[in-house]
Amino acid sequence: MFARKFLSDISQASLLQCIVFLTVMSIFFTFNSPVFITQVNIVNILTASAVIGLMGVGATFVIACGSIDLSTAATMALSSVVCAWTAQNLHLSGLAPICIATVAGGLCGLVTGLLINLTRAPSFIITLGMLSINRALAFILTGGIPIYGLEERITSIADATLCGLSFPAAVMLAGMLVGYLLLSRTKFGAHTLLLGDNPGASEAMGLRVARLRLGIFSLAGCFSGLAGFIFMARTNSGDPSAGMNYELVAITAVVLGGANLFGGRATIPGTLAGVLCLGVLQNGLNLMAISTFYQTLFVGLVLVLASFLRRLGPHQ
Amino acid sequence: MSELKLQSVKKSFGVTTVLQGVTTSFSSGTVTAIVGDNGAGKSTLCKTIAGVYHPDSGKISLDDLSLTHLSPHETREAGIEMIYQDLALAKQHDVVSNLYFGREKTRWPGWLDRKTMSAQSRVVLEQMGIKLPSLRTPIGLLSGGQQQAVAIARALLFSPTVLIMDEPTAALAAREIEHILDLIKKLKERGLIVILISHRLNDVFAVSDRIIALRSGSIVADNLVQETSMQDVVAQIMIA
Amino acid sequence: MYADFNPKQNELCVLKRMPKLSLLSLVLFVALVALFGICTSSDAAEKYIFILPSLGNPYWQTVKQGIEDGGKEFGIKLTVLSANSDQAKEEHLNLCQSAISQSPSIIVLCTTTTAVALQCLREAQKQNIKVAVLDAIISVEEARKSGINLEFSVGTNNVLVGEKAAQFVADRSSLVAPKILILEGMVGNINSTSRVSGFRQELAKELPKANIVNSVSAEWDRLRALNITADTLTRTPDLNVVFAANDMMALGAVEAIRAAGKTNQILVVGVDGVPDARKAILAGRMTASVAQLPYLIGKRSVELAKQSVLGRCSGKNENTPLLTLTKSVLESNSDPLLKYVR
Repeated sequence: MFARKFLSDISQASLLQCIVFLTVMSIFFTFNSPVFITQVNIVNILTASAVIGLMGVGATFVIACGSIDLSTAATMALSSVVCAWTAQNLHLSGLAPICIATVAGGLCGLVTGLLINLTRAPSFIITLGMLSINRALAFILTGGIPIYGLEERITSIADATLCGLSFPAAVMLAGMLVGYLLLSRTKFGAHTLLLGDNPGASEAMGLRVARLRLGIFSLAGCFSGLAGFIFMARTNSGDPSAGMNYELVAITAVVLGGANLFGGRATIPGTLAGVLCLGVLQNGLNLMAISTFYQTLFVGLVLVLASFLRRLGPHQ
Repeated sequence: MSELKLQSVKKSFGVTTVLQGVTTSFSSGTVTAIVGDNGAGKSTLCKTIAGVYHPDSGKISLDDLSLTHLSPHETREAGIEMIYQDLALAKQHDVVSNLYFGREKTRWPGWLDRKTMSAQSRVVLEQMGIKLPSLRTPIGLLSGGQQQAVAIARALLFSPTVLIMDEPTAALAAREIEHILDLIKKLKERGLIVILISHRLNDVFAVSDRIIALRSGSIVADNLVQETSMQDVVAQIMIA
Repeated sequence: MYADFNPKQNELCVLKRMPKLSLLSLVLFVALVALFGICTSSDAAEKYIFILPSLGNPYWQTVKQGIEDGGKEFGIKLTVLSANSDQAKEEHLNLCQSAISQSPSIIVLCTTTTAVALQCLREAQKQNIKVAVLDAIISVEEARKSGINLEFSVGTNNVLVGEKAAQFVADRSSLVAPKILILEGMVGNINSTSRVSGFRQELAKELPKANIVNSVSAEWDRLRALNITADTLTRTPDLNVVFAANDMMALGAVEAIRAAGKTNQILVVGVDGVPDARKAILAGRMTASVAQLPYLIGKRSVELAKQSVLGRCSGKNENTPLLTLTKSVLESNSDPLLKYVR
C-alpha cells in the first residue's frame, strides 16, 4: 500500500518529466566529466543541495496551501545567527544548536502565520514584510558582522557521516522523508492541499483554516531554521546576509517539481527532483568549468524547458 | 422524527438587512422549497443554518440542539449538510478526496486510510447509482452533472439529518436534472429534512411538499404544494 | 470563507471598520513624524555629505567608522548616508537626490556602479556642489571625460588589488604552473571585474604557465563559494590556489577545503581583510587577504574633503596603500599600516 502510493505519487506526469530531465542531464554530464558519477561527487551534489532542499520542503507546504513564503531565506539567516550566538555564548554542543535553530525558525513561521490570520492579507505581502523584518533582526543582532570561527564542538556534528552520506545530505533526505509522510499520508497534509485547491470550500467543509495555516507556516519556519543550522555549520559562521535570494531558488525547485504555484497540487518527491535538477545542473557546469554567464543562462533554459515539457504532458 | 426550527432569525450585512426575523420549522420526510427573487435572502438563510453566517439575533435549533452559534465544522458534526451552488469541490483532487473533504479516515498512528476510503466511496456511489469513469480522476475533469453527483454523495456519506441544496439543478442538462430529482425523492423517503433552493419552478413543483416564498428577507407565503399553483407562487415572489 | 464571495458584504465590513482603522493609522503617522523629528533635530547646516552603497558589509562599516573618526579629528560635522544593499542602484540615485536637495558644500560619493555615480555627480555639479569620489570608483581623468570635475578620488584601485594578490601567489607558489580557481563576485560588479582582471593580468606576467581551471561567480555568497570550491576539488583534486574577489567567498572556500581535508595544501587568497578573514589567517586556515584599509580610506576622505571645501585641493587621485595580511604579518604586528586594519 505504502509503496503503491509512493509509486503513484512519482508517476504523476509533471514529476515524471522532472525525473526524465534529471536523467538526461546526468547522462550528459557523465559523458562530459569523468568524475560526475562518483560517490564523492554525488555526495557533493546532495550536500550542496541541502540548504535549498530543506527550505524547499517548507516551501512545498506553503505553496500547496495556496500561499507563498518569501521570508524563508531571511528566516534561515536569522536562525543561523541566533543559533551561532546562543551556542557560542552558552557553550552548547551536540543536538542543542540544531534544536535552537529549528525552534527559532519555527517561531518566525508562527509569527508569519499569526500575522496572515490576523490581517487576512495575502501571504505575499506579509512574508515580504517578514523578509525585511527577519533580515533586519539578523543584522541588528550581529551589528552586521558575521559571527565567525565557531567553536569546534558546535559544528563538529556537521562533519559526521551517516551511511556514506554527509551530515547535511542526510538531514536533507530525512527532512524530505518527514515532509513526504506529512504531506501525502496525514490529515494535515491532505487538508493543506485541499485548502490550496479551494479555500472557500475548505471553510465551508469545516476545515479549521486559521489553525491549519498556522501549522503550515510554523512547519515551513522549522525547515528554514534547520536549513539555517546547516548553513551555519557548513560555512562556520552565523551570517546575517546568508542566502540572499535563496527563497526564490527554493520556490523555483518546488515549481520545477510539478507543484501548482497557485496551490492544491504539490509533492515532496517532486520538490526533491526539482532541487536535484538545480543541484546537478550547478555541479555539472562547475565540473565542466563553464563561465558564470552561461550558467545563469542554463538555469533559465531549464526552467523554460521544464514548463514546455509540462504543457506536453497528458494530464493537462 | 426530527425538527429544524428557526425563531425570528435576523441577519444584516453592514446597513443592508438581509433576513428580517424569519420564523419557521422543517420536519423529517418533507422536501421544502424556498423560492424568491434574487436578493430575497434564500442563500443567506441556508448559509445561516449551515453555520457559514451567524444570525444577529434569533435562534436556530435541531431538536434539542442549538445551532445558533455553531461553525460549519460543528453543524456538519450535528448532521446538517449543505450543497453549495458552486459545489465547494476541490477541482484538482480526486473523487475520494472530495467525498471525504474534511472528514478523512485515519488509521494508527494517524496515516490516511485511503484503502478504506476508496472502498467505501465505491459502495456509496454504487448505492446512489452514480457512475464515474474513475475514482482517481481530478474532479475538474468530470462533467457538471458528475460533479453535482459527487457533491450530493459527499453530503449523504455520513447520513445527515438535514440536507440543504442551493440551486442543485441550475447548471445541468435536462437528463441530469431528471436524475437529481429522482434522488431528492429517494432522500425524502429515507426521512431526511430536505431544503431546496431553486429558481426553476418546474423542478420545485415536481419534488416539493411545501413551498416557502421569501421576499426582502421575510416569509410572504408558506403553502403545501397541493394548496397552491405556479401562478400563485410567481405572484407571491413578484408583487409587493 | 464563503462570506468572502459576497463582495457587497466585504465592502460594507471595511466601511464599518473605517473610522477605527483611520484613527489607528493617524496615530501611527503622528508617532512616526514625531520620531522623525527627534532623529533629524540636529541643525540643518550640514556641509559634508558622504554616500556609501550599504552598511550590510563589514567593509562599509569600517569606512563609515573612518569617516566618523575623521570628522571628530578634523572638527567637521558630517552626514553619512547609505542604501540597504550594494545592488540597489536606484536607491543610490534616490540617496543622491536627497543629498543634493540639502545643498551641502561637498558630496563624497561611492556607488557600486559607475553609471549611477556619473549621473549623480553630474546633477550635483549642476547645483554647484563640489563632488568627490571614495573607494576610487572613478579616476579624476575618467570623470573629466564625462565633463565632471572631481575634487579628488581617494581609495584603492581594484586592479591594483588583483595585481597584488597575483604577486603574492607568484611569491608563495613553488610551482611554475599552479592550478588556480577564481571566485568572482556578482556578475557585472565593477569591483569584482577589476580585481579579477588585475589578478589575471599580473598572473600572466609573473606565472605565464599558470592554469586557471575555473573562474566563476559565487555572487559574493559564502555558501555558493563553498559549493563551487567543493565541485572544483572533485574535478581537480590537485588544485593549488584559490583567489576570491572578497573575503566572504574566500572563507567559503576555506570550509570546502577543510571538509576535503586539504587545509594548508591550497593557497587561499581573499580581498578586504575583514575581521573574520584575519581570524582565519591567524588560525592557519586561510593564507592571505589583500587588505584595502577601509578605515584609512574613510579617514583620508574626510581630510581631503576639508581641504577641498577650503579650496586647497583640486583633481587629485590618491591611492591609499594596500597591505597583504598573512599570518606572519599579523603575528609580528610591526607593520605601521596595521593600525588602520579594523
